Parts: sequence; C-alpha cells; structure tokens
Amino acid sequence: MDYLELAQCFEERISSGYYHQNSEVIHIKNKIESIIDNDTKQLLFLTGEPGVGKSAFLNYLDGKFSYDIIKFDIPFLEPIDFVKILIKKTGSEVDNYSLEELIKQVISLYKNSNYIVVLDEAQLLSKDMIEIIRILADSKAFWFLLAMHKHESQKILKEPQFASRPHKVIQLQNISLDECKEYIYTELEKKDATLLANTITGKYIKYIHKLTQGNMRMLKKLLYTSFLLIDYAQKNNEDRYKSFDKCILTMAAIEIGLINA
Amino acid sequence: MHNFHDLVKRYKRYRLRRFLKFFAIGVVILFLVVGFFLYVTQQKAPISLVKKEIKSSNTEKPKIPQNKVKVVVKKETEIKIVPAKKIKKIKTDKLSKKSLKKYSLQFLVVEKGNTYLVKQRKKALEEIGFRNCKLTSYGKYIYLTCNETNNIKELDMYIKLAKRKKIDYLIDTQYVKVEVKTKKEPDVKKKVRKEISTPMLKMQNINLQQLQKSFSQTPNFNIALLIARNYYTNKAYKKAIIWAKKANQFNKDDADSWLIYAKSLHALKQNKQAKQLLRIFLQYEYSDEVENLLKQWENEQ
Repeated sequence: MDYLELAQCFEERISSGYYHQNSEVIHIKNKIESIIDNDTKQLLFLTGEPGVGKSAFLNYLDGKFSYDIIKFDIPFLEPIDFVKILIKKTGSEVDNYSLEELIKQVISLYKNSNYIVVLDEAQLLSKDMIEIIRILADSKAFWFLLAMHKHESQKILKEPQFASRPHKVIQLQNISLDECKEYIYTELEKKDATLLANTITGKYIKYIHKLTQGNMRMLKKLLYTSFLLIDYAQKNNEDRYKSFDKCILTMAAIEIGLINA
Repeated sequence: MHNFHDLVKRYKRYRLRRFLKFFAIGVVILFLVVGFFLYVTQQKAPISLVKKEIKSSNTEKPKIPQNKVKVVVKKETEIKIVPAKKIKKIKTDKLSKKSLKKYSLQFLVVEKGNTYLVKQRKKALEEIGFRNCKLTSYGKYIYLTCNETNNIKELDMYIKLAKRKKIDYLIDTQYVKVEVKTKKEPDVKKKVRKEISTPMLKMQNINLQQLQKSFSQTPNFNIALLIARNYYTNKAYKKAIIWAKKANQFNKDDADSWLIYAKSLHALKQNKQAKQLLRIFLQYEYSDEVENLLKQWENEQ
C-alpha cells in the first residue's frame, strides 16, 4: 500500500472538488439558502473555530446557489480598491475617482442583480472597510457573507454599526465522532484502501477525535503526518512503525503539536 | 522525515512520562484509600460500650474476662440498671461465696496498641471529675474504668455526671477473691462484710487533710462520705455528723450518709434522734442495713 499517496489525500487543499460534505456542512448550506430565499438583503456572518473549515466551505458554496458569488480571499483591501473590483466584476468601467461617486456607481450597477459578496478572514478587515461594507449592505444591493474566527466575531458583532442592523450569525461547528469516522472512511475508500479503513477501528477513531477535537484542519494534518511516518518507516525498515496504530497516531500528534512532549 | 528518530525518542519520553503520571496518581489513590481505611479502623477502635451492648445480639462480643459482668443496658437515651438484688441472685450461683464485689464505671474498651488514646481519655475523664481512673489489660483489650467501689450506690453521682456530660458507660462488676486464713465459715463472712463496707479510698490510707483539700477543690458526695466515715472511725462523732450532713446534701438517697449520721448520734447517746433519723430514711428508701440497725437498737432497749 502506498502510504505516501494516502497521505496526499489528506493534504490541505483549497479546491472545492476535494471538499467533504458532512451533515454539518449541508445543514449550514441549507440554512444560508433559506435566509437568502426568504429574507431581505443583509449581512451574514459565518463564524467558527480556526481550522473548522470556513474557507473550504466558502469555496464549496460557489455554484451552489442561484446567486452569483464574488469572493475576496485577501482581507487587506483598501475601500476604494474593493469598490473598484466590484465595479469591474460587472464589466463596467470605473467612471470616477471619488469614493462617494464610486459607491453610488456600484450600488446602481448591483441594485437589481443577485450577488453574494463573500469575504474570508473578515476579522482582519480595517475599520474603513467595515464602514464601506455597512454602507453597501444598507443599500440592499448585495448579500454579504463575512467569514471570521469565532473569538473575534464576538467583539466585531458588538460594534454598534453591526449590532443595530439586521444580520444573521451562522456558526460552523467542529465535526462529530461519526462525521470524523465517515470522513476518514470516505477518503480511504476513494484511494481503494478499504483494507486499511477496516483496520482503523472505533478506538482509533475515538483517539483521533479526542486529539483533534473534531477540528477538520487538525484531523487532516494528523492523518497526513501519520501516513507520512508509516511511509518513512516502510522505506527505512523501521518494523515497529510500519502499521497504522496508536503509537503512530501519538507520534504524529507530537509532530504537529497536538501533544506536548 | 529526517527527524523520525528524534520523534521516536520524544514519543518514548512521552510514554514514560504518561506512565509515571498514572503510576503516581495510582500510588496517591492507594495511599488515600489505605489512609482512609486506617482512619476508619482507628475511629472504630474505641468501642462505644453502650452501642456494643445494643448490637450484642447481632455482632461479635469482645472477649470480656470471666470475672467481669456487665450490668447496664442502654437503649438510645433510656438507661436501665439491673437492681443489685438481681445481680446477687444471678451471680452467687456461678461464683464462689468467698468473693467480694467491686463496682466501677467502665468507659472504654480498646484493642492493645491504642494505649495513647486511652490515656488521653483517662486524663479527660479525671479532669471532668471521675476518680481513680485506671487501665486494666485483659487479653487483647484494655479497659478504662473509674470510681471503683464496693458500694454500687456510690456510683450514682458519677453516673449522673456521665449522663450530664453525655459519656457512654457501663457499670462493671468485678468479683475479687478474698483470702481466707481460717476454715471457719463465720469468720469468712465477717471478712467479706468488712471488705464490702470498707471504701476503696480508705484502703489507700489517704489522710483527712488531703481529703478535705480535695473536697474543697471538687466537692462531691464520695469525698464527704469518706471524711465522715473517717471521723466516725476515729470517734470524732460531731465532725462525722457535720460531714455526713455535707454528703447528704449531695445525695439524699444514699443510706451510708444517713447511717453515719445516725451511728454518730447513737454514739453521742442521742438514741432517740438516731432512731428517728433512720425511720425517716426508711419512709423514703429501703435499705437492709438501715432496717437491721434500727431493729438492733430497738431490741437493745
């Protein structure tokens, strides 16, 4: 069995093609869809622990709704650049260099369109950017979906410009034990490693879930490192570490910093 | 994976640390369990005599020396004392006629090895006011008894004291063999009677000054009675009357103080008053000794 290949399937990828749709993800997607269909245009906040899969989820959303998605991955934007990008996305030319005029232009361009503006790592946005987003959200021309870390979101949402406006907060949770099991088995089966999947019994799944606390990023990292270690042991005749067991998982957890040793 | 071997070392170190951690926790838990067990057993060691009596039908009795007989049965707050007459009936069949009864209050029975605890309890009891506390060792057990006396009634005030202080006790009856020098029966009886009527403290030759001093420190019936008895035997009848009255103030039910009072009056040739005094006592309490003495005096006339 090629453990290097197995390791690669747990590598962190941004592409939506590799996204694992667990029940939590489907539930959140349906919730957003329901809000968009039934409510007026407003701010949506997607919160969650770092590594829970917010960015991957935002990538996965592309093409899932009747609305078009304009995604901004870089949070360090200047308000004027942000507005210009929005204007250019429609194929229009920037008419003016005054921010006030640009805002008017972008609102008029998007007023009757169906767009969702998605901003990742929104906790890093500057105050000016937040102000522009607030003005554009008030115009009811866009849906805004701002993904941010749970901890910082609590502080941002208490700001008066958000607290006083209609908004919805959607929280992405860590995966459960069953979802963890389902994810590992699905990924291994994709690589025709059913035999290995059968050796990863409930006690290993429990140990993996305990170590990673259901955090997707850490889960992938742990499995990726575990398979790399087995691959190394096989290639260097380290007999004790050639198979997937608790020892390998503990070593991988030490390596990625989940266990302080 | 150039750091694979380093990782293996870290893993082994982690395992060792984890093992030691659990081992230490295990050892601590074990110590706590053992400590708790020892604490519980130590707490149970000083057996509450009264409770033991109640449970006696279900639980194993401690080995009590053959010449010790328990008299008191306590149920929660109620205390029943078996009358002295009954004890005589029960015991005289089994025990030799040539024996002398001694009564004392037994407070504690503990296994050997808890001597320090018993000594502490002894000290505490003496501080409360109990007298002549002593430790007696029989077999596996150590017995803490106080106020040994030949007259069970002398224990009354100490029983009241124990009740007031809420101390568990039982009345311990001991049969002491009396050495018989002659084979004649009447002499043996005389000796036994003499032994019974002689109080413990008198046998220890405590002088009157000491007794009066201790009475001034802790006034009680026993000391007053002893002093009265001492004066009476020394033929100081007026002083005997004074001390008999003092003893009587503490315990009006006890025949001894009345007897000394009456005998002293009789010795001072105030026969009428002496007899009247005994009659008054017999109106309220019954005493063989008082009745016999009264009959004797009436016959003398």
